[in-house]
Amino acid sequence: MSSHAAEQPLSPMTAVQVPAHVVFRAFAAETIMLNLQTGTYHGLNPTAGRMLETLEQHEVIAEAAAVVAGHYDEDAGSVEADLLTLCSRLIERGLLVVKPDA
Amino acid sequence: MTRHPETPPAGNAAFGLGFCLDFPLPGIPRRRLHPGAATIDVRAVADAQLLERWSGPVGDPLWHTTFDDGARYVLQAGRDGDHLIEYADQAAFHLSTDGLVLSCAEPLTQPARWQRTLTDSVLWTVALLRGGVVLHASAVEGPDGAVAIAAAQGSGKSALAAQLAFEGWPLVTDDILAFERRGEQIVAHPGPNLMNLSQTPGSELAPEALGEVLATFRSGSSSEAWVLVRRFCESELPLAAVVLLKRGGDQPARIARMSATTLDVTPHTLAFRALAGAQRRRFEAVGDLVEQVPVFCIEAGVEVPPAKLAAMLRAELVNNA
Repeated sequence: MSSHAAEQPLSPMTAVQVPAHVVFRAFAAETIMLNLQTGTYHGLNPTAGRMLETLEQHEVIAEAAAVVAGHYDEDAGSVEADLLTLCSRLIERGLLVVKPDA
Repeated sequence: MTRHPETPPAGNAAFGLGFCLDFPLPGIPRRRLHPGAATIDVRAVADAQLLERWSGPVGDPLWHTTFDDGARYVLQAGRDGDHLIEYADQAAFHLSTDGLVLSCAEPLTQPARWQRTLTDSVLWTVALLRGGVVLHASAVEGPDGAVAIAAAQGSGKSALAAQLAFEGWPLVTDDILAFERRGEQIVAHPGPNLMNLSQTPGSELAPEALGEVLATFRSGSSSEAWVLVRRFCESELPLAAVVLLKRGGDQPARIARMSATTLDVTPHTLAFRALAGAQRRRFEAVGDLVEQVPVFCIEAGVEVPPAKLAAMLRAELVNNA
């Protein structure tokens, strides 16, 4: 588990990124992530896969949540909560890290 | 002035590599090679010479397994970046640091078993060490390219490939298929034109129907014929389909196209995880494969004969093309 995640709870203004030791690829049925350090594969459903791709393209979780909410025509607050949960789970598995402060 | 397209060079080839052999070895036919393909010098040496070339082990073995005959197969990296492959205490092979010279310690006994280890296992091990990616699959040449058949050990992929080969689709490989992305195409590299066919009472297809039986290997109560196949694929070709064969129970046979991801195909690949970059290469290559190549699943009970599975597969691939 990331020590950063243990020390600092995620907030909508947290910036996250996929670390260098993780690769992922989106397919029609699901997005597959591979942790190259552990050799473990993980599957994300299409919605979570879309969230991951959006996170990669935006600075902080709140920005990504707004984009995802617009795409699915959902409530931004609800999507933000889902995105924070997804980020926490991915961080726990070493598939996402909190960006160091600039 | 007319410019003729370059003719690819030809040489003894398997798994996308050329092999320049200094001793006779069955099953590595001359084939047209891709211009960028490396050629490996394969030399017979005495045990002492092989040990002189070995720089000594570093770390744990890169890979090890135990074959059906109970023999242990161990791949070890060396201090200088060379590699040593040992097959029980019956054979040893050394790949030079530059990956271009494969030294083979001459066997004192069982030359056929030694040759089979070299052609069946060592050559694709070299392909993996040189950055290749392989499916644990047999393959034949269908109308649109290679048809790979992947299955768990003992599920009958060789038997199905043998049936299709008998019915006229040339053999591409038995057990291991090397592949790579080239442009927008996935290219399959033929393996040796050799097959290992289980000989069980009541087998519908006699090994002699496919080619010359070079040897018969017995292990416990079972035996395998090692066959030099007459009709085989003579050059690389596009990979047209991947078939995941699942046998079990007494269910009727059925075939369906899958919406596949890397999770479906990766279990049917081989990679030396400790080798730098190997996992990333496999992830990318398998991702390319499932995006470009249709993946089918055949589910069938253990009693369904290969001839019925072959007819079903041919109908799916030919009639629905």
